[in-house]
Amino acid sequence: MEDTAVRRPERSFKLLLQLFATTFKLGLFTFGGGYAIVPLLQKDFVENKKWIDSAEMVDIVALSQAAPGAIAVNASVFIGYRLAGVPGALFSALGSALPSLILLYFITLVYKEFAANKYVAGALRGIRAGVAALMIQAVYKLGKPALKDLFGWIFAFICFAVVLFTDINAVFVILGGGLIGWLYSLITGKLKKPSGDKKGGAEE
Amino acid sequence: MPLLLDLYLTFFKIGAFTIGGGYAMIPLIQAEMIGRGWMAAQEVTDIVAISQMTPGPFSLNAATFAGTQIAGIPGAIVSTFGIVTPSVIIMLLIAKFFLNFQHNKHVQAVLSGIRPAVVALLGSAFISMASSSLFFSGMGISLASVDWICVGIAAAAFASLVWLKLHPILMILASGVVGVVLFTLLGL
Repeated sequence: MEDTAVRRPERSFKLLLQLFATTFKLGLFTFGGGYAIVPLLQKDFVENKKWIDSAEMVDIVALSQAAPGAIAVNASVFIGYRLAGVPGALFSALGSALPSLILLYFITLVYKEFAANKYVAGALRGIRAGVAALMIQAVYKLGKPALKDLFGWIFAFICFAVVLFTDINAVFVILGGGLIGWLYSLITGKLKKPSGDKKGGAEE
Repeated sequence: MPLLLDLYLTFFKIGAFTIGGGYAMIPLIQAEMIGRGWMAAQEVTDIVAISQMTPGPFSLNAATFAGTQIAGIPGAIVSTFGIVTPSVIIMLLIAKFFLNFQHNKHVQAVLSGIRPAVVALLGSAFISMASSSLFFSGMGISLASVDWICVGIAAAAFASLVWLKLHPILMILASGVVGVVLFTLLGL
């Protein structure tokens, strides 16, 4: 699927409300663990609204995973900030937190009945199967823009094996990946500095 | 210290110090809730079970559950906001830094390694989800323990996502309805 160019929305109060509404809606349907929000973010912000491009989305997910806290909240804050500064971040954070707050409050009051309810059990069994399908599609959708060369592919498989067969915490996988990526760039000469260039400055 | 402030700060601490995903915070939640005499061990186990049956991030769900049990509506609000606050602060700093420096070649070099790692983590999340949803629990992973109806639902979901371009949220709703019909009503 071809990504057309992103068009950043105009900053306005309406945008803040949209950010709130979108993150709220996504929060209601994130079943099955932190990463389950990734395909929802991809569909809404990248494909439908085209406010974020898929390459950026990979980076957003990476940073959201590496930072402490829920991926969903972190990603919402980042996207909100990207599109509408601090107000955007706050509206998005609120949107991502409210579904849990509201739903869980009511469910907690009747949680024993909720846990034993056969309709809930049946629905969940179906939903979890659906989410598995969603996740594999997400791997493809994010993998395509993220893995652009042989190094990317090979390294992704190595990381996958590491995660599958060891107990290494995800954050260390990400930080380790970053280090290895930097070293690889160093070794392959991508970091050669022309004279007068300084590390840490923004470059075009 | 007033209870609500204590709740807020406790969940702030839990949210700030949990690295690597929701379930990593279970020991911390246990230590804080039980250590402060706010919840019993069984209730903490219940948090985990309930949080897996509800949408939303585990950490938020756990915070709301605990806050509700401890101090009703104000408790729920304060705990949830507490666990979310560190995310907001830290991600704002990260976002600001990133947006200023993302074109820097060192940042790009680091990202070139992080991107494959993220795809790998997503892949492993898929494996987790598939193994827990497509196999009957407690029977190990083998051909005998495959939940074939769920495999069918997953296949149909995949087809609808890829070929019908069904929105994920609609797919989730549909999967839930199918689940209720097949498992609850028809008892399959």
